[in-house]
Amino acid sequence: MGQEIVHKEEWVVSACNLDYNACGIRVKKENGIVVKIEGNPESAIGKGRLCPRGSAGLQILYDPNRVNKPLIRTNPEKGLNVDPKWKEISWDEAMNIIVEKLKEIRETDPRKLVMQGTTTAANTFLGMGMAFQEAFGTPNEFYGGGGLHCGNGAHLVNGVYHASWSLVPDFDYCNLAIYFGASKGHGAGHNANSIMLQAADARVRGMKFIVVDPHLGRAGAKADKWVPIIPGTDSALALGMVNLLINEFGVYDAEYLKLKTDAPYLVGPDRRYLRDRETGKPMIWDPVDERAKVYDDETIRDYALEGVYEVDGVKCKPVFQILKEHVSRYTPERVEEITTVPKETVVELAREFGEKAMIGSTITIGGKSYPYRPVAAIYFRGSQGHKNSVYNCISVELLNQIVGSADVPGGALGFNSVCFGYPETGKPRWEPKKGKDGFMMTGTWVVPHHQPFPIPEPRKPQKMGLNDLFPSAMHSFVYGAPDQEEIWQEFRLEYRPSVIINFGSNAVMSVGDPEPIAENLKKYDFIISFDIYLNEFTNGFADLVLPDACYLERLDPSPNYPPILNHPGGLGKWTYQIRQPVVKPLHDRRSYSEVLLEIAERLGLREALYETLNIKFELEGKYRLDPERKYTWEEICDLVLKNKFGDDKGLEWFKEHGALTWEKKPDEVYWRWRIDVRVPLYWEFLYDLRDKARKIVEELGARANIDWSFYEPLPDFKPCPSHEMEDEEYDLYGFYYREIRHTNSFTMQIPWLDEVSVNDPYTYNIEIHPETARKKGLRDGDLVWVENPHGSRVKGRIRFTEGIHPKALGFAACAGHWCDCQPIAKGKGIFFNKLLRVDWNHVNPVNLNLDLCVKLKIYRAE
Amino acid sequence: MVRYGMVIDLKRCIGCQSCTVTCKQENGTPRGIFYTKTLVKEEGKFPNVKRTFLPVLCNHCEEAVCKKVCPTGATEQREDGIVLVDNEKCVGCRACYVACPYKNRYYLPKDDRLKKGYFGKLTPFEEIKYRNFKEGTVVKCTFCHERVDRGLDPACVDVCPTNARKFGDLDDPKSEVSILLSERNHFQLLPEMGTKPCVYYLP
Amino acid sequence: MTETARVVVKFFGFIMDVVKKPEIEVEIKEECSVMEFVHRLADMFGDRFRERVLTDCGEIRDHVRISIGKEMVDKEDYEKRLIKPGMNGEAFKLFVFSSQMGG
Ligand code: SF4
Ligand code: SF4
Ligand code: SF4
Ligand code: SF4
Repeated sequence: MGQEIVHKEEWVVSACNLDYNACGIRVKKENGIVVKIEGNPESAIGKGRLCPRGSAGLQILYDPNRVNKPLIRTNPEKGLNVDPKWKEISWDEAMNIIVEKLKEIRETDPRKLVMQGTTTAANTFLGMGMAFQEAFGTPNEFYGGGGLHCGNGAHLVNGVYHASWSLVPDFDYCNLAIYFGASKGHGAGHNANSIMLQAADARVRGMKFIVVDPHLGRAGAKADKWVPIIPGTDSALALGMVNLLINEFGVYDAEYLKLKTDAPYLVGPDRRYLRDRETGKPMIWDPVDERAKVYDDETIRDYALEGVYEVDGVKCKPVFQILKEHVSRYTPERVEEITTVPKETVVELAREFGEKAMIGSTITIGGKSYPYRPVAAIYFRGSQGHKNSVYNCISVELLNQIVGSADVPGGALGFNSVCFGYPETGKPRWEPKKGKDGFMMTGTWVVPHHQPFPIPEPRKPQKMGLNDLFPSAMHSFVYGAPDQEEIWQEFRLEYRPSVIINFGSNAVMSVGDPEPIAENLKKYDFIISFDIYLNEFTNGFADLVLPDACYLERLDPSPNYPPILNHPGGLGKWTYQIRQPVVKPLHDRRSYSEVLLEIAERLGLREALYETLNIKFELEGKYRLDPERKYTWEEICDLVLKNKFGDDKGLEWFKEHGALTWEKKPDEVYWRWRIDVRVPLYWEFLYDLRDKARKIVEELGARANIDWSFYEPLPDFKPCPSHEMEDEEYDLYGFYYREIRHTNSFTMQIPWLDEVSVNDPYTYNIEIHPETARKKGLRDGDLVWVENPHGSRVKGRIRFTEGIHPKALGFAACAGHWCDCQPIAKGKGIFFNKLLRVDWNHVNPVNLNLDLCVKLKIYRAE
Repeated sequence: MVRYGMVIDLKRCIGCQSCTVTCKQENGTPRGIFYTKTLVKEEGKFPNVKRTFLPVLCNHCEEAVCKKVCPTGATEQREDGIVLVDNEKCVGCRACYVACPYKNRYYLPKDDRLKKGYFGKLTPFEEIKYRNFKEGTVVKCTFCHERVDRGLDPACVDVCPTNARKFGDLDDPKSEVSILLSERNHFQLLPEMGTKPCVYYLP
Repeated sequence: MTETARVVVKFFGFIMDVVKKPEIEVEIKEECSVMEFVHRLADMFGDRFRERVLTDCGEIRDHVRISIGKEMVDKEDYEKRLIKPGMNGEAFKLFVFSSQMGG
């Protein structure tokens, strides 16, 4: 065997970035060449293990298809299939062009700049990208497909109920987890890698998993029971279960409802809370004293949950009473009609959930007693990716709320909603606090200055996506809307965006139907794109491409911050770690953060940028950036670290040790009863939001057809356009799912991942039920077209599986690259997003979440 | 005596193929060569359908038929049971490949894959790794013997995000693998072939 | 206290399109609270400024941050913290963030 003499072996500790989870890694170099990436066992993030994407990362570093020099477009024509005729230029030339372009709009109207990014690298642009945007003074950001294809709706609802970005079952103590369109612990999404181990441990321990999903998928494969459902109907099933629990079985945690929710708040005939005249606070009914009191009155002896009461001549009912009546319409029969889940199954699910909740029980952990509710209802992409986004999530969440399983042992945990800080410095530190009407406000949030509750006041749109008029929207469909200009005119947007700074997002593929997006992109004056690979977006529309450093060449001071995004939840440990260059950037590649720092300097934005960085990174006292002097990116990172962990734990310490790890306390994980906050079952504040937004829409005279009935305080099943589609030709529901081996679409250029995807029966094919196929005369492996009612179609191969709803077609991820610049990825998988309509009718009117299910017809190609 | 073996917990495995990819990274195997991979099997009818994942690799059999049929002595078995191929001695006759009931050996064909790598030209990583390969020979899982000799777990064991793979001494009753085998039901693949495989599965 | 003094006001972020100038000087005769001062700025710059910085009820919006010199002013202190003539060259800095969500 060819024995190679190793001259120098070296390990560097860092963080992965094949998705936003940033697991701890250690990287081996031989004579300066990267030869192995492993998990860092010292890090709680990943716990020394890697998912397949993380295992494949090193092929990015040496891929000859990487962008290595700044490129300028020489072909003025733009379009989906246009050759840009790139010409290499120097960094100096590139910087001069950028500064000139940005100076112009900064002086005329900074709002014309759009910062665009990808969720893949969220933990990078959350730092410098956002700080730059704020310093520049533009309200416009667009995170590629992120905004439309991320957890938009789920994040909002998780924020309101759990003060966190996302939700996991308490794998340590939970006995029954029901997943509604979620894959937590099965390879995709938040903490993908970390919680695979937690979920596996839970399976071995005997925790029961039930997966409600149109396809079996990886979560269903590992579940004890798979409950197939029509896409987008999750709310009907969940509300049916709530109905049975409270109206049929009488199973609910009265104490929790009384003290931790608005269940006792009185609601008048106007459907608004009954409020105290003086303080404006919501009132409850004290059945002992037989009178109404404000909800936080210290003399309250008990709270009425049911009944009708008269207060000052006004008839009112507690929220819980209204909820009881509201959900009574969701009988098992009706649920079956909507969801196709047999009514017996609905009853069985509700009964089991109620029984396993063990209401009233307690458990002792670390010497302290906590309520013990070992059941969890978990929702994510699948349930929230529909027109009914908000209600789908709330409906499922109600299951946790009814039995009191939120953030107690065994239950549904928001991750890392509370942090007491590194013991030596007490930083970073956060916990939820009480806000208006007693409702919880998050202690920290992924994007600052915009918490899920209270939802900011709607205002006349300043943002190109109108998401300040619909302020619970993270992102907006307007970017890809065919009638974008009409929308802007109707809503009187005062300017038109003209320059994009893109960071790695392939917005042509990641949003929806690419044709209107292409037309919209052509209107921009100048598009700058930081990329590791050229792609359909850059080739079609970018004017200047900058060769970005990949994660093995880059310094990021806070890849896992704030931990509500991508630090594993539940018991365990805390880790703070950095991402550092394992090798110096090869060729002419430069790190995005460093380039933006220089651009800001040359634009004269130093003071503004330093101040926004001070706020973003919470720099205090002597660690604040002082605009009187100039800092390198390394120096800034050093201050960010010292500010949190003390002078002895700056960049040097972290470069050597990589990760700082300390114990998590049970009180940080099971905080629900310790912190005096309530959460709303009845979203009364949606009325305020509706009234303000509607008033503005009317004042502007916009004709947009917005269905305001989505602003009712209690959730309902509301059909997606696909449910209402009557044309029988389009008889199948298309939906896509996150595939464990890919993050959005860029990982398809990694050969190792491509190989395992090609070898997998489903990743690059369309899942179809054999009966469905046979009826249409299709055979396993046939090449087919799938077409939406608007005439968009995509080609792919079908793969038979019993693990899909006979009325549905399953598509993996965001595949189907067509450009030559990613030769490995080219032609692989199906470009499902092409089938998505990006318009008013396909978004949730509250959070502008795009509907991701679509009615399709299927026929043989050739 | 040490007898190395692997125990794979199918309750844990979610078929992610991180093991497959990491094995390729550790060993730098050329295109199309998989010392390990995870197979997917579906059983039952909608909606009562089960999908299971089965990681497979060389079983480092006690009765390694591959070794018996090798005419040049290229396939060797160490004292600790690890079966290796010496590619200096291998003449590429493929007798072992035919004999192995598990088809966990790969013939590295005489084509351009050692010259072109995955991208059409070799990356610095591939240049280092491909020195260990010779076209026209048979290759297979080595139980990561170089790691094992340094006291480490094989790469696929180390990486597995669900901790499904465990590696250790089957002859030591106190090893994790032995304890798991004594506590849980288990099976081997094709035990009827008499090869005495050292890879066990926990259903 | 009747001396007039100038307070240097610096603007940052999503307000540049309204104020145009990153820095101005405002004359004040007597001390006033941060809240009052922001309302004065709103009177100077008009409705577009007001809309961006204040809510309908005249409160400072959540995504506005204010610092005096190097020190951030807490939300709770908007009424208490005073802008004084002769703040020793400490600039009044107003940041308007664009209230992002995302990811
Ligand atoms: S989960 Fe994300 S960060 Fe972690 S190993 Fe996988 S790709 Fe890397
Ligand atoms: S890495 Fe582990 S979980 Fe993934 S396929 Fe391999 S054995 Fe299974
Ligand atoms: S699995 Fe096949 S190659 Fe491996 S030792 Fe057994 S017979 Fe030989
Ligand atoms: S033991 Fe080593 S060589 Fe064998 S499959 Fe695992 S990683 Fe590959």
